[in-house]
Order: sequence, then structure tokens, then C-alpha cells
Amino acid sequence: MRMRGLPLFVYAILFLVFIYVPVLLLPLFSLNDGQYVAFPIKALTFKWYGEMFDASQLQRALMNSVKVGIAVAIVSTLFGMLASLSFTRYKLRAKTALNGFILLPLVIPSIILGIALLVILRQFLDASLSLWTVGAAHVLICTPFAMLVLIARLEGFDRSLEEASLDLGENRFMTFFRVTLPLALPGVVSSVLISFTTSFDEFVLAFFLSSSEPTLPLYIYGQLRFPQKLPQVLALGSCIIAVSFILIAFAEWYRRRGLATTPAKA
Amino acid sequence: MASAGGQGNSVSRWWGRRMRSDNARGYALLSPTFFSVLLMMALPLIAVFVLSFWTQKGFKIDTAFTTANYETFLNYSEKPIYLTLTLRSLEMSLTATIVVLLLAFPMAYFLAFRVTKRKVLWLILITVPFWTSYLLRVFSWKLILGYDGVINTGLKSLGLIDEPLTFLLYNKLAVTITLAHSWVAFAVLPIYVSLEKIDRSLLEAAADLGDSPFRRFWRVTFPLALPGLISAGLLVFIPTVGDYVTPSLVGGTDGIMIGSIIQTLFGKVNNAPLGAATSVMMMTIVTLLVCLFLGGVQVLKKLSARV
Amino acid sequence: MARADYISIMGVSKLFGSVAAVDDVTLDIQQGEFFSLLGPSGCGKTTLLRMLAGFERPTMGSIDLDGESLIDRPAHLRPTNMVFQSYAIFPHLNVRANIAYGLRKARLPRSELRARVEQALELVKLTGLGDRETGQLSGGQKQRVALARALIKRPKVLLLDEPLSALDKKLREEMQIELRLLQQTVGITFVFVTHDQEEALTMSDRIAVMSHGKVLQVASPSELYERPNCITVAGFIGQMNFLPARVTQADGDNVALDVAGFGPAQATGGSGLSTGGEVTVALRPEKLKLGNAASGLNNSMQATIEAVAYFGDRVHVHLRNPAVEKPMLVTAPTDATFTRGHQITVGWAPDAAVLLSA
Repeated sequence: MRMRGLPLFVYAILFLVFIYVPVLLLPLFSLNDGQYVAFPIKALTFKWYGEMFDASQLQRALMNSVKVGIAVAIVSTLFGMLASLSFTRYKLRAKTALNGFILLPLVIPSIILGIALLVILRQFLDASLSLWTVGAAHVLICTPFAMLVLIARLEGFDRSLEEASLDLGENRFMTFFRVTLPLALPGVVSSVLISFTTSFDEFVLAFFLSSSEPTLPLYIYGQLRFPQKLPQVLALGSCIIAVSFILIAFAEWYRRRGLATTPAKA
Repeated sequence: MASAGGQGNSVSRWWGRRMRSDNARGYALLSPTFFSVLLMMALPLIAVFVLSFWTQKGFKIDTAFTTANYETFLNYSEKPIYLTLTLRSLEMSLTATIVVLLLAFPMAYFLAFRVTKRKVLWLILITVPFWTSYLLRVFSWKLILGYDGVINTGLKSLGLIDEPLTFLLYNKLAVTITLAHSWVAFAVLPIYVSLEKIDRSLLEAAADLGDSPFRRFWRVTFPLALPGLISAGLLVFIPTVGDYVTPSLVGGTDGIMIGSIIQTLFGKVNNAPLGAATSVMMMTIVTLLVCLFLGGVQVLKKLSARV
Repeated sequence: MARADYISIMGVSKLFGSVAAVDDVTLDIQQGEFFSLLGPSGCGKTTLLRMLAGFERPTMGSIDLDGESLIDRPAHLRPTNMVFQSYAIFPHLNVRANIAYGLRKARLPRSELRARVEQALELVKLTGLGDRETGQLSGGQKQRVALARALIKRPKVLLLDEPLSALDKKLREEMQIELRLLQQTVGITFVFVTHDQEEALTMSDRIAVMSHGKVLQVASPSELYERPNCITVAGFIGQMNFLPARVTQADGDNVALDVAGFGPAQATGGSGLSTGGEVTVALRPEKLKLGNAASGLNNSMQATIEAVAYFGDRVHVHLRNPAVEKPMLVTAPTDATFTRGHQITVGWAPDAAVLLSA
């Protein structure tokens, strides 16, 4: 039994090496004391981390991305929640078709979505581009994710809990806040996290739909072509990895806590 | 009697109204999401379709209906670039997709059938790298495959080569490797889910009915994992066909894909109608291919389910 | 000639960690017999069955089938087939392909394959349903597909893991009779796992009662019912009243007892008992007589009627006597009337009791 599992285990380790090595090169080079990001590594330094804090353009791009990300996370989760409530709590006639329609942005290449939005904004509406247009496009691709996560969560709990609340005299609106939302909270948290990270890392839509205000991926893309400031970008990338790890650890801790305690106690 | 009948009627009418208002509430809840998708996806796609029948005249758009853009796209003898790049994009995406599925399946199988404790930990380990910037991940492949990259410096210091290998970067191979790396974690999840769902007693039943472990895999595990493999495949294939970031960073001239052309048509070249037509053609071809593929799978399934 | 030790299980144990799911089981199963493994959940009956099928490997002991050891044979090379509790119908194959699944290796010509599948469908009364998708089948139909799929392989032994537990009561009772008839038609040895003692009694030639990984008794249904060999078996099969007693005089088969509530009493079946020893008197509810019916019996006492439950063809009377710890259960014909709170005489004949070690 043990021996039979061994080749697969070795494969799994190699798989992890394959997906981790490119990612872990970034922190390595962020510590390299050399203007050009290439081998051989010269000496270790933290100076790029220091310069990162002085780079105003980088900070501006970072702030733009955070702003857009937060707005997108909130709006997508809201849209996702409304849609998942209507799909799980009501018997809608064209349920499959409507569900598929909302999921459609997931299976359309983002370059198509990007140029489509660009076309309607520029050629038909003559509107100007801004962070708002980037945010709107991000909501379009984050809502399906949010909906999928929330549907899974809302289907997972006992409908009779909501019926009990209605039976005890609470109206639908308050039932949502007192029963449904607390129980769906882990789903809401992961929906917010997924939407935020998707928006934060999105490049193609932002490329077509942003104005002079760049988001972080746009800034990084620019630096990839003009490599003088690249080490700072790598320092920032390393920080993002670190923050991601912390966020994931937090999410996992939260999930476990959610499993251990009954939501009724909240 | 009459009053009782009337009462029954009004009750049923009250129920009817209630049922209807219940459904109406469901549609009302859905409408903000529905209309936002309609407004931001359906409408713009229609706009692209309309635009593709117009023409660019200098800085102005001529709104007279014409199929000239499509003729340009399909005119292989004079403008071979569109069809050539479309085919090359399809070929590269398909290769990347197959590589991704081949890499992801054993991992998903390991997760579903061999890992008993700490499944969540393994799943997190697989997803974490993809929280880093997509662009930086693509860039780091440049660091690995490049002239002064990890592979070349490594091989040189081992004395296996004298001159750096140049066939690693700026070609189709580099694009395929990079795409495979970018998408492989996304493919593991759906495959894992479909494998995890397989009732273990089905495998025991197959063994009981005389199948060796190898046979069991092909007759039970694989067909039941097929839905996961298919959705993983589509999840990778569809977005990568339109990708232009990866080719522009690691593809060189050899690895240019149709997405790059669309991007330049909307950007530097400033011929949005032709770009729109190219987009429509790309979407149509991809949709047709996907439908053909799914139809083929259905037919195969029907055939193999019979005796 | 049917072999008495067609399946021979010798000293088989199965440890999961330090827990013995099956603990030193030895038993023989006859060729062509309908044999049941009966016991509460967790008693090891399913583990024993899975060792026969080859899904679990015994930690100790050996299993022979028709004179050949099965121990080193993987599941797919054993001449046994199983009907799973969940049926394990392949969802990606239709009914016909499910039934034909195990015939791949036989490499039959297409016409013969189809003929055999048709035969199997007919055997389980599913004629005409071969082209159905399995998703459209009812629980009872899935059950039949699982049976046909296993029987078409013409196994030496058919293993059934609680196959009727997912069906509703009425369908279950029909299937019990049908399964028994089917077994007699095909003449294959059936090993049937169940926790339902009624099911085991109605269907089996012989039953092994299991508890905590051990086999307590192997016997025919009537023998199990009439002569259980210990309190656990007696309590598990049907209903039973247990009364503590002391042997006042042992004389071969006949013994004189001092029974709680009844006082001095006579009983048969006491060989092996010695004077002064403790013993448990086990009495079936229908072996106890009430009122006039008890008048001629020496082993009798007065008791209070505590509750009466009507079952249509019989009445359950619960009796209370201060000297007996638990209320006693008596079944009586419906023609007599019993009133709650009244005193009544209850008695039993000397050969009605089973004497079990305390």
C-alpha cells in the first residue's frame, strides 16, 4: 500500500517544486544588490525595500489598486449575494439559463470583454476612462466567482432555520440579517477575498479601460519593459506574497473557528 | 354552502397571488446582478458585433454597413496574418491545455485518493503561488529561461554547455511552459472535485467484477473524472486563446498570438472595426470548437455506455 | 455432493489499529446454502464479508473457498461477487452495460453477450429495461441491477452487504421472498449480511450471530430462536423475558429452581447445572400463559397488568411483579380481555424455558 503510493507522492513534490520555483525567485532577486535582474546574484541587500517606500508612482499605483479592489470586492459580493439568494431561495423558471448568463464572463477571454467595454464606452457613449471603468469591468468578472462561492454556502445550511425565524415572527428582511447573513459569513469572507485578489491582479481589462491613473499590474507591466525600477517591483511582489500568506492563514484560522463554534452563539 | 365555496375560492386566489409575489421577489432580487451583466457584457458584445461591420476612415468611423473587415480577415492570399495567427493561437492554447491537464491529473488523483489527512493544507499549498502577480510570475520564467537565466547559468556552471542555450526563450515553447505554469493550479481543482465525488464502492464493485487496478482506472475512474477534466480543459483553453500578455513577454516574434493583433488593432494601428471583426471571428471559432468538442464527447459517451 | 466446508474461515481476525473488528472467527459455510451474518452495526459482520470479497486483508487466519486459499488473491481474481449496500451502480453506464461489466474478460461474441444480459435481466425481472439510464431507476430496480450484475458472473459465492436496508418496509418484505427464491433457483451459495433479525430468520438456512467481532452462535433459524446459547443471542433474536434464578436441585435434565417472582419452579434442559448455581431463565412472550390458561401450571405467580398493547392478531401484555426488576412481556390471543391495574396469574410449562448461564 505504502509503496504503491510512493511514485505519486514523488510526483506531488515535483509538482510543488514546479509551481513554487518561479514564485520564489522573486523574493530572491528582490534581495539582489544589482541593477539588472539576472544571474549571477551579487550580494544581499534590503535597499530595494527602502526605495520601494520612496517610489511615489509605485505607491500611487498600489493605492489605486487597493481602492479599486475594495470597491470591487464589496460590489461583487453584494451582486453575488443577491443572485445566490434568488437562485437558492426561489423557484425561478429560467434558473439554468439565468445562472449560465451570469457565469458567462468566466468563459469569455478577457481581451474580448476589455475591447467590448472599450468600444461601447468610446465609440458609442463617448465616455471617458477612469478607475471607475476599470472597477466596473472587474465587478463583471468577480461577480460570477462571488456567486459560486455564496451559492455553495447558502445551499449548505438548513432552510428550516430561516423558516423558524419567520415562524417566530421576524420578517424576511430581518431574517436575512439575523439568520442568513451570520450563517453565510464564511462564504461572504471568501467571496470578498477572491474578488479583491482577482481585481488586484487583473491586467488585461485594466490595460484597455484605464486612463492616466494606472493600477499596480499596469505599473508593473511598464517596469518590465524599463527594467531600472524592476528590483523595487520585485520587493513589492515579495511583500504581496507575504501578505497573501498571512491572509490565507487568517482565512484558514477563521474557517476552522467557524467549524468549531456554532453560528448561533454569535 | 355557497359562502363556504366562496371562501375556498378566495383562499386559493390568495395563495395564487402569494405564489406569484414569491416568484416576483426572486426575480427582483436577481435583477440588479442580471442587469449589470446585461449592461456590461451583453450590450458591449453587441456593440463590438455592430462595429465589426463598420470601417475606419482615418480618425473617423464610417457607419455604412460592409463586410470588408471579415473579407480582410479571411483573405489568406493577401493578408495571411489573421488566419495564420488564429491557427497558431489555437494550436498553442491547445498544446498548453493538454500539458496542463496531463500535469494536473496525477496531482488531483494524488489529492483525492492518496492524501487522507491534511487535504486542506495540500489544497492551500497548491493555490498559494497563484496569489502572486500574474505578470511577475510570467516575468520570472524569463529569469529561468533567459540568456543569463537559471537554466543556462546552471548548465554552464556544471560544465554541460559552453554557450547559453537560446532556444529556451522567445518562442512557442516558452509560451507553452509559461501558460502551463500559470493555469495548472486552476485545472487541479475541478479534476480533484470530480475524483473526490467518485463513490469508492464503485471501484470496489469494479474489482469485484474482475477488473485489475489498471482496468478499473480506465473503465470507472477516468470516465467519471471526465466532467472535471472537460471543465478544467475549457477553463484553460478559452482564456488562453485570447491571451496576449504571456506571448508579449516570453513569446518573441515566434510566439505572437491573435490577442496581440487585436490589441494592436485597437491600439497603435487604430483600426477598431477590423479589431472588432477579428474578435468576433475569434469568439466564433472558439465557440464552434468548444461546441464540436462537447458534442463529440457526448457521442462518445453514448457509444461507450452501451454494450 | 454439497461440501459442508465449501467456505472455510479459520481463526480470522482483523485489526484496525488496536481495535479488533473481527476477533478470531472460525466457521464453515456449506455449498448452496443461504448463510446470514447477523449482528448490530459495528459487530464486524461487514468486515468479515469484505474479507471474503478481498477488500480487506485478514490480520490473522485463513479463508478457503472450495479447497483453495483466498488470502493472497486480490478482489478482482476471486470467484466471489458482491451486492453492495449502496448498490454501487456505475452512473456513467446504462443498465445493460452495468450488467455486462464483469464479462469483459470472457470475450464473448456480441450475440452471446446480449443473450446473457437478457437472461440476467429476466432473472431479476427487469426485462425490457436494458437501455435505461441508471439515473432513472428506483431503489428496488437498482437493487435488481446490482444482483444481475453479480449473478451474470456465475460466482461460486454471492456476497450481499445489507442489500435491503435502503428499501421501504413493503418492498423489503417482497424482496426477501424473491431473493430466497432466486437463491434456490440459481443454487449459488449466498452470504448475506444484515442487522435485521427478522430478515435473517425468514431467509436463511443458517445464521451466524455476531457481536463485538466474535461469532456467538451458528445455527438454523428455528434452533436460534428455540435454543439460543447465551443471553446476548437470546436477547437479539426475537423478544425474551430474563429472570434470575438459583438451582435448588440438579437431577440430570430436570432441575428445581428458585426463580425471581415465581419462587420454586421446575424446568427441563438443565444438564450440566449444579445445585446452588446461578442461572438465567429465558422465556419467550408466547410461552408465558395468562389467567385460565395458566391455571394448570405449577410455575406461576400473581402479577399486575401494567399496560396492554393491541396488535390486531395478538395482544402484548406488560406485567409487573415487585420481585422482578423489569416488567415482563406476554403475548396473548385477542379473545381474552385484559384490564390495566388488575391482578392476573402468569405461568409457564417446565419445557418452555431456556436456561442460560447467568
